[in-house]
Amino acid sequence: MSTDLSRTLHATIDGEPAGVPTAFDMSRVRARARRRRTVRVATRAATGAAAVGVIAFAGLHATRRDVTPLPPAREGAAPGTCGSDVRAVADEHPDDSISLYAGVAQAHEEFGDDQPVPEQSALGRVVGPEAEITLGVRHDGAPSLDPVWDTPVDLRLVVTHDGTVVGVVDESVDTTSGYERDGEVWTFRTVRMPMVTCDEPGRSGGDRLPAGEYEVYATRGDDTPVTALAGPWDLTVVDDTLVAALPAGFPSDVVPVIPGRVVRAEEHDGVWTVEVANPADDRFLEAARLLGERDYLDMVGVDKIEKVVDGWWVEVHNSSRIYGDNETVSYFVGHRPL
Amino acid sequence: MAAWEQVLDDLVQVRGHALVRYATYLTGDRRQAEDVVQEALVRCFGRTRTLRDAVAAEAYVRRAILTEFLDGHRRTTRWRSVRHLMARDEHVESPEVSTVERASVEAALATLSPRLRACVVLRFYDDLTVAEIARTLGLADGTVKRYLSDAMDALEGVLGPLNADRTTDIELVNTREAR
Repeated sequence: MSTDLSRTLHATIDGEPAGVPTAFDMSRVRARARRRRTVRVATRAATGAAAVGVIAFAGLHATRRDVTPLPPAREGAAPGTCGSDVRAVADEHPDDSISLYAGVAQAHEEFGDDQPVPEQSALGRVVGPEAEITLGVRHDGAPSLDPVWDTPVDLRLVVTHDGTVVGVVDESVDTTSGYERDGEVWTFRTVRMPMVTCDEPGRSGGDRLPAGEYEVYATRGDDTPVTALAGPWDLTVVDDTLVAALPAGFPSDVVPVIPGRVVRAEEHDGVWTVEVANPADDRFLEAARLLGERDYLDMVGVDKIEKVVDGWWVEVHNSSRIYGDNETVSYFVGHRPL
Repeated sequence: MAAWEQVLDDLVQVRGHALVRYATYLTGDRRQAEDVVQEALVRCFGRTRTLRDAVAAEAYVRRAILTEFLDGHRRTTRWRSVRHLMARDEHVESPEVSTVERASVEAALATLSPRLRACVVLRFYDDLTVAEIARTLGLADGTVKRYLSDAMDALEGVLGPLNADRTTDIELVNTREAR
């Protein structure tokens, strides 16, 4: 007797009984989901916050930063403009000729083996001022890569929260890779998408998006109203507040560390070791940016930064250690070569 | 209770065990499957995307389960608040599929590599075409065909003849013979 694979899989999966699996902790599932849906929105805070670095390590202190409200929903706004709702356009006129990917995605064309870029549903978690995103575009009707490689493609990225457009970015970037497969021609380019609010009528944007969950859509051109949209892709903006103070004596004024939770901070024989946990995927890129080494990192693709800053020898490592769900960046700082 | 929480509760109440079974076929390990499903639920329902009902939500959650599985992230957080030492198999006897057959398929799938397992589940449960599987997993069509063919050969070695739809889009020229 032969085994019917499809029937068996359907029967076993769909034949499972109703009821919540006993191993599930639904209170925690709900709580975690609820936290992710919350966007920190606050009015502009007064200045005069306590400075980090002059407070004893035993205390927990938050650096106060101005947190800007998101652009409000504007009823009747043309889809694709700041404050508009784009969900109806996305549902009714989806565009599958555009794809977005987290970070730098390359189509591999070596040795004649065309490999498509794997589809993603999320653009990752970002703590820096920009999200590194690869934009893929399908060139319908193109016979091959050659005629479209140098053709500029104008794209608009729309960042939404709860369906409302809160960020708009227009990009026109050169192609960096591409592939041909099954009659389809795709080109790719990587951009750094600013994580800032869009301009509302009567109010300029440009403020960092508050921590929270967003969805990103993409469309061709920069016309409004938009008539078709690709997406959405999920994007998380990570809180950029440093929530635990660094110990007194650590040269935080010349060695800025990434936001997050300090999980280790100690000094031995004149060398500081500080480890900061952060859930963002770009935590190491942000560490590099704060030290002025972002472009260097792009060029050489290393996972360790070494530099001398005002007489301090600094090493920064992208750690694979895990605290809870977050990986860490480690700083080693001393007055002599490490 | 917010609308999304109601949808979440409805989905888990009606399809919780099915999602765990789906994830078990992918991961080969039930405890890992339970973690993966819960993480996928947090990922899906932690978004502000409107999920109208449990049916609409399940498609997103199954996709998130696949993503969690393929990402292969090691989580140190464990979800179990209560450890059950008793067997948790709560199968309903299906008149069409024998218990032996069900257990054999699950055991046979567990012998495959993760990529092959994913291809089999996407093909024979999610009913995706080769092209759709290729796009989902980021593989070439030919690679998916090869994976499915290898998986079927391996499963037949364990289960005996398979009455699976080896349609033309997954049949390969046996290049091994040509070498």
